[in-house]
Amino acid sequence: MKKSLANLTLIVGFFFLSGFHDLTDDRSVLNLEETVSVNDINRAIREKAGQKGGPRTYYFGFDLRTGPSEDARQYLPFLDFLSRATGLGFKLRFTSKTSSIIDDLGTGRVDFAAIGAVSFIKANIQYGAHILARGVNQQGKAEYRSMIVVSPDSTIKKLDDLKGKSFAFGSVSSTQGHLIPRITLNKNGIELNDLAQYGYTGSHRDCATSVIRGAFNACGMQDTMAVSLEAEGVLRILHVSPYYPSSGIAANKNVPVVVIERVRQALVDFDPLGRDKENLYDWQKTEMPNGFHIARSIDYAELQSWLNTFGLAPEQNNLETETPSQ
Amino acid sequence: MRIQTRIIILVMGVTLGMSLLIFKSEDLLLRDHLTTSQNEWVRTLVHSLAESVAQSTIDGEKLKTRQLLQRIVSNDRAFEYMYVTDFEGQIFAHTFNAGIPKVLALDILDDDHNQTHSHWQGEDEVRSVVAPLIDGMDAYLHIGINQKEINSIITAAQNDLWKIVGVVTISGLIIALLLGVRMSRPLKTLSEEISKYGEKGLAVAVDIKTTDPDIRHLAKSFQKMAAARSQTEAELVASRENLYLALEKAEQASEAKTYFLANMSHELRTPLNAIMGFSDVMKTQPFGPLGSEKYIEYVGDIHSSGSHLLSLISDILHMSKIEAGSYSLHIESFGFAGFIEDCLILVKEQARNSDIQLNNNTTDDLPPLMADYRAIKQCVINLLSNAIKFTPRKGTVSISASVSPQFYNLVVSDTGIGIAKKDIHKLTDPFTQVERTHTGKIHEGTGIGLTITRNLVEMHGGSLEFESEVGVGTTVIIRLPRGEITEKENLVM
Repeated sequence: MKKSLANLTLIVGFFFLSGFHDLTDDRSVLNLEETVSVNDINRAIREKAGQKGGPRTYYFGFDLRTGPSEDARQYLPFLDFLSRATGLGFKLRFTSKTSSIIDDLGTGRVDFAAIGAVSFIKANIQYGAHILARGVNQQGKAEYRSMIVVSPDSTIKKLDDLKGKSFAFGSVSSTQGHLIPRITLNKNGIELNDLAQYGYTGSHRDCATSVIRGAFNACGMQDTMAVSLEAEGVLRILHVSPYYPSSGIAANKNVPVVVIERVRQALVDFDPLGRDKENLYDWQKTEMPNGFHIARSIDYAELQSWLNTFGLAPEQNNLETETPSQ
Repeated sequence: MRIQTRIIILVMGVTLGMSLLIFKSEDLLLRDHLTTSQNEWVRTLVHSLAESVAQSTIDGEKLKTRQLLQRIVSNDRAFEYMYVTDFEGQIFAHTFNAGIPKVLALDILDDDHNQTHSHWQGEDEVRSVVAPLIDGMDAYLHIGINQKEINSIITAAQNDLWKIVGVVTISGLIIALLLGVRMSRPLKTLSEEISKYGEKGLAVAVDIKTTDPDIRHLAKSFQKMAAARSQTEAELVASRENLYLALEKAEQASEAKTYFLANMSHELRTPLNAIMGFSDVMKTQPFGPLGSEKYIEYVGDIHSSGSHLLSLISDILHMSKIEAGSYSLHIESFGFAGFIEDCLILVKEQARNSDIQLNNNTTDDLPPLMADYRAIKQCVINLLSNAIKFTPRKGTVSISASVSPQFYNLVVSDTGIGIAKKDIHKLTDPFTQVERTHTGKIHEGTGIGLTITRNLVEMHGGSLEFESEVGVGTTVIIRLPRGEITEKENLVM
């Protein structure tokens, strides 16, 4: 009898205890009256981060392209590769609208950056940034070019026909979307004043769209996208520029030489088509789909002189001829 | 505890346990389902918010981000609050009117800002669900979701489940009661019938109304057992009655035999004495010679046969008296030496005739013997006579006596033909002479001498013991108890 009652008590007790277990949890009461200021919390977090010590994390920046999520998906696997290859810690850091990758690199908000040729030249002039490597495109070249496109049914048949027409550029800081088309126009005797109208659409795609929609008669843009759009029959390529040094990876001047060299070697070793292909996301859509070649600041001397010519260069500074390692 | 009570407790326990198990399982499943649904909903919400919140966070547009969050919170009462922690882990924007509630601030400072927490605001549970603004990046949108709606769903479901538990438990109770009654009723009936059987000792017909094969089998087994026991008891009673009848008849026959023997012995001895007397006169021929030698020989034979017949009749009479309980012991004290001499005198002639040497090994330092002189003398003479009778010529018959703390021992031994061990137990049977296989002859005697001897010794409370080996000899020991001897009840042979 005692055994039966004990078993019954055990069964019922178990279920009751397990059934009411939730009520025995400690409650943290959300008291809306008792608050802490955001500034105090953030200050505490900063202090805590400062006390943590350990290996330093290097921040990697880039020009926002598609959108935060897509860009992050593209760069995070690449940073994982860099961490594995160098043994250093890397974190992605976005550039806000109120800033630029040049300023972020110059002010030390980021240590490394994927950066276009024009942006690097400006960062180098203004902040002494170092170029580590240039991206290799799908044709295996560490350089790129621009194309001038018009509507397929446009009456513009040669560059000289652009005089008196409206012309769209991409971003003002873009090499393919602004500087190279400006060089092309200049070399063919066309000044901005010769155009009926010109403007900056902000991106290559918007630039192409402006022509397709008829907002502008012509546009200077990235070569690969132009080829693709012509294949679709929505645009016609009017002119193809010569090749210029492509965009690459630059470092803040304060990054230790040892770290720079370690990262440079990792970039050169990077094999996005083979060994390191796994985990990469849409890497072929970047400006370095086939990896990197070693780059030197001198590679960008011609482009810098054109910037000077067009008055686009920031305050003149001595262009660094060698990276700190050399 | 009664079987019915046990069944009820067991069924109730199992029913209640199963009900609670189902209740708990359903509760957990429902909570899990609702929580999962809520998480999916939050993920979808965050996904749709992510781009704008992420971009405004990247751009450092705190006001824009806060306005966005506040618009969402104010449009849906399910949201208690929202706040964003940026890529540095710091609070970027929030919907709280004042600062950040302390308990949340502690979570954030503990680096738990990417974990889901539950808090309580009054009676309402507020679940802080966290989702990254951008996968893989340390920037999060924290959404405080009031669980009131979920809890109300759970409470409603729990109420329904409690009702089900109640119904199941009551059903279990009813089933347990029915089952208990159904199972215990036949057992109770069987128990009552067994009690009746135990009280009356009668066979009973057990009418068990049950479909349970085990209980039916038990009842049938009991009925079989009861029937078998009744039959056995009837047979036992019959056997006992038969035995009583047989015993009564045997006793009557024994009494008749004893009466007959006693009377017949007396009746036989009277004419026999005449035969003995006149044949003795004729042998001595006081009234002149008989004439022929043959007559003298025949008269000798008549006298000898008469003597044997007289001895036989005396023995039968003696045994009859013992069996009839009319023989009384007369206990007295007498010395061993004289007693044994008296015995030896009576068998000397027989020994001499058989060329047997008689040895008296009795010592003079023995204490006096307490016994019936006449009875023990007859016993010793019987033993000596038997020893002489079964000892070949030139053999030896010895007698000795000893006393131990408990017994008087009288020992008669011979160098005679001996007795097989298997026959020793037959020695004291009346009218029996053990066959001496090695001699192949039956010796003269009535066959009741040792029976009388045993009876007389046992009347003293003593015993008669035999040790013998064929071809070597026999030793017979009379053990009489020391101390006060009272006449023992006669033994029935």
